[in-house]
Amino acid sequence: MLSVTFGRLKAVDNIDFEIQAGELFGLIGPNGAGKTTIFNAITNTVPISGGSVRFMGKFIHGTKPHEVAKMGVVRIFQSATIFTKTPVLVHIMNGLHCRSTTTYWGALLRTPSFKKEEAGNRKRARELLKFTNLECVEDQPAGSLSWAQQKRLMLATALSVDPKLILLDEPIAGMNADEIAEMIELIKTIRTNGITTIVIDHNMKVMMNICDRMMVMNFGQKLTEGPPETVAQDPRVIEAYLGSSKNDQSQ
Amino acid sequence: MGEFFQYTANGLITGGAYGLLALAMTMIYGILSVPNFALGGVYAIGAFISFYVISWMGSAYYLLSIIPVVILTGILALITEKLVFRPLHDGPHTAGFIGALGLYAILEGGGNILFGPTWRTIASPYNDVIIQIGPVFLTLQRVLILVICLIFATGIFYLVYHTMIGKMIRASSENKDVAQLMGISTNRMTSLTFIVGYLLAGIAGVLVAPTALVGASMGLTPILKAFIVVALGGLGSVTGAIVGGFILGLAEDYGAAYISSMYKDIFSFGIFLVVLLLMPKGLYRR
Amino acid sequence: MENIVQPRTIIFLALGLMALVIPLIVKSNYWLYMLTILGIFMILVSSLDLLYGFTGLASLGHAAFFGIGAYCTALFQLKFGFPFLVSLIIGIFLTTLFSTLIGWPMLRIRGPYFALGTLAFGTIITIIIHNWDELTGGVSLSGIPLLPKVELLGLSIDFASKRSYYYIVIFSLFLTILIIRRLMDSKIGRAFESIRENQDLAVALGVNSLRYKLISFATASAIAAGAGGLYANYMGAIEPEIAGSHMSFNLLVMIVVGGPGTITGTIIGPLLLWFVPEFLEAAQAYRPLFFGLLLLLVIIFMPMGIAGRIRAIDPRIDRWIP
Repeated sequence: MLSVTFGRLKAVDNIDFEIQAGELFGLIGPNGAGKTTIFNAITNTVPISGGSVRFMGKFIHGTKPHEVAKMGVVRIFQSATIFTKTPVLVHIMNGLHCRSTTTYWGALLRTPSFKKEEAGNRKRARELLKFTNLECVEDQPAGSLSWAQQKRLMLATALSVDPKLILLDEPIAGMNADEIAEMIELIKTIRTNGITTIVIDHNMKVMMNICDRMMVMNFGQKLTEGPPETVAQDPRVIEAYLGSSKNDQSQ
Repeated sequence: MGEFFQYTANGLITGGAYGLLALAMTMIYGILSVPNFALGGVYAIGAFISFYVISWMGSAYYLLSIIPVVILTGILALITEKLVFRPLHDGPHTAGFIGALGLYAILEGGGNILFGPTWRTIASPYNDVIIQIGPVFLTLQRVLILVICLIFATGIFYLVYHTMIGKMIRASSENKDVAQLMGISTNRMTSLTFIVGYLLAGIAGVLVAPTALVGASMGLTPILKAFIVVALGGLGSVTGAIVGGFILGLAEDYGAAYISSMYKDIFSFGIFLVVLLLMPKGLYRR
Repeated sequence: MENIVQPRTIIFLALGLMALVIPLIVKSNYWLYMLTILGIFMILVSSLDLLYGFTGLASLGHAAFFGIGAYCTALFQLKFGFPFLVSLIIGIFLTTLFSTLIGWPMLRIRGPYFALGTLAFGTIITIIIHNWDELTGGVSLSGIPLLPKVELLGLSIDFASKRSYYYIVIFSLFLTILIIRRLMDSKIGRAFESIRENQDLAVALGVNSLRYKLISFATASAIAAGAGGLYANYMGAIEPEIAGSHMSFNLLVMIVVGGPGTITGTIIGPLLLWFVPEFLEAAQAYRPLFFGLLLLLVIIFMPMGIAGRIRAIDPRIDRWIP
């Protein structure tokens, strides 16, 4: 459950929307519509200039980004943002950071609780490795992976944070048909596991297929909101994507 | 009370020298996003050149040193830009910074070998001419520093904001890819910026040499202060560099006069730290 | 895989064994002296490696902590008569306190500003040490007492002897490497590396970047202070320059050239850039030039440093380089 109200002029202009728990919510619109900015605002990577962001009933705007992550909101960036030199398995373990209770001295002295937790972390990372089909590249540095593999790695790492809400920014951009199919399966499985997801993408076919509800944006404003079929038939959406046809028609 | 004006004048002159260096650094930072510490070495080279000109030909020929300075700084600018900074530009952004440090070390080290480890002084014909404005006494040389600084500042300002070339430089600074798409040769703009910057640093060295100790490491502290000025005045901002230079110069001289001259250098660094710490998000200009 | 002994551990242990055995072979006091100082440098460079190689923080003022540790250790012995170990611990504690206080605001700043800030800080410290003569002896602080003879388990150990001190330094070096290894192989180390690789992503995954940068900074300064204390008592006299920008710069060059993020790098760095030049007396004047040139060449052609470059030749070689 998430309600967001912004009052910022340029990027996002007084948008108001709410997302139900467990649903797969799509965010579409032309480039520059303000979609990524909404993600930035939710994770407080960028301060909002008006309005509020509420997550599970609590106001979260103004919370530090790493704390937002700890609360269960994890975001995947548009470009392949990864830790290039880190081996894949370790990369996934990075997400477990805020869920681990290891202390400085625990690590230095190698206490039994430290060892137990590290083993647990490794195990969990392995599970996610398997889930995203990256077992074959377990030891390789993340930078050497293919684009699609990197995107799956980003997903695995995000999942290890054990999120309640995932923000996917163009998860299938740059992939071929097979890779897209694989990614969609993963996203659908995530949804069945009860994780709420917001997806930004430009691939209309896919978005219509997977989203429960969608919101269309343009120039920082909300055009419309609703289930995919309704949104697809909304004339304003058609206009935003295909251009205005009013001027051409002789009426 | 008269001392106050003297300190003010001193501060403006010191600030003028900082301003020239800061101008050089801010232009290069604007287009390359790298603080080019090698400028400290170029500064020393400018001083060396005027030292040798005066030693070999007599102080009357002081102004002649401008010719070798122009040539040498131009060559250095092109060499370092092409061989060091261009290859480093594609890597992580600490690489350019470390490269600049390495360059400075080379210039300082080379200076030590060629020039020798001892500090020396030179005298230009302007050292002996004293100008008096009210309660303030200044040697002509020192006045020259301020005057040249203002001339160059105006010139650069005009160049950057009122000429076509300036526009191209600014475009390249803001967005290299877009500038290239618009047909601007960003490489050439970078080279030009380097040449101008290195020239400024060299001239600063020539101007300051008769008023200070000349030695291989003479550029270290000034270039650090120049970076402080640039960081605080706004990266890539021409006015920021000049105004900031004056402010820092004044702060230093007032501090030295009214508080303690022993800890003079600490003031600049201290101010830098304090301002830096008060702006925790870093200086967000770029 | 974690339980199998890695090839690089074998090499590391071999090197360690070599280090332990050296005093039995090398009898010359001069060589022992050089090796001991080399060891101290390796401890110091390791601490900078934690900061730069692992966490990605390029500090140009790291020597300041070395200096503060050295001066604290020396002064507590000279002015208050505290024994060496106590003074060393106080020195480490005070330096860490100091670094935490200065790091708290400073680590929020990124990139070259942070480096410049550390440089400014280091320069200020050096100037203060230099000018505060009543406390620090100004240009030089001498007369630092030798370590005492100690009766331990029936054995009389003269800690002042060159050989004993060498072992103290080697032991400290092992301890340092152990600390760094253990930290790195934990969520703390992973946090460090994630900050280095991509701070924004690290934060998005829940890493409190300020906190972990501070942990890295404080740990590095503590180790540096320890090295400083060891240095002070070994040399008997110290100067403000040990905290200065030239020293900090040299340390950075050592780790950049040696290879950030590797133990081999912290060996190669001081070896190549301190040990070897010390023997080339005629070339002393060329040192800054040589350093600058080496730094440039490495950063352009081998950004991972010498150790990193060797590792990159082949994954099989990589496994053998500690």
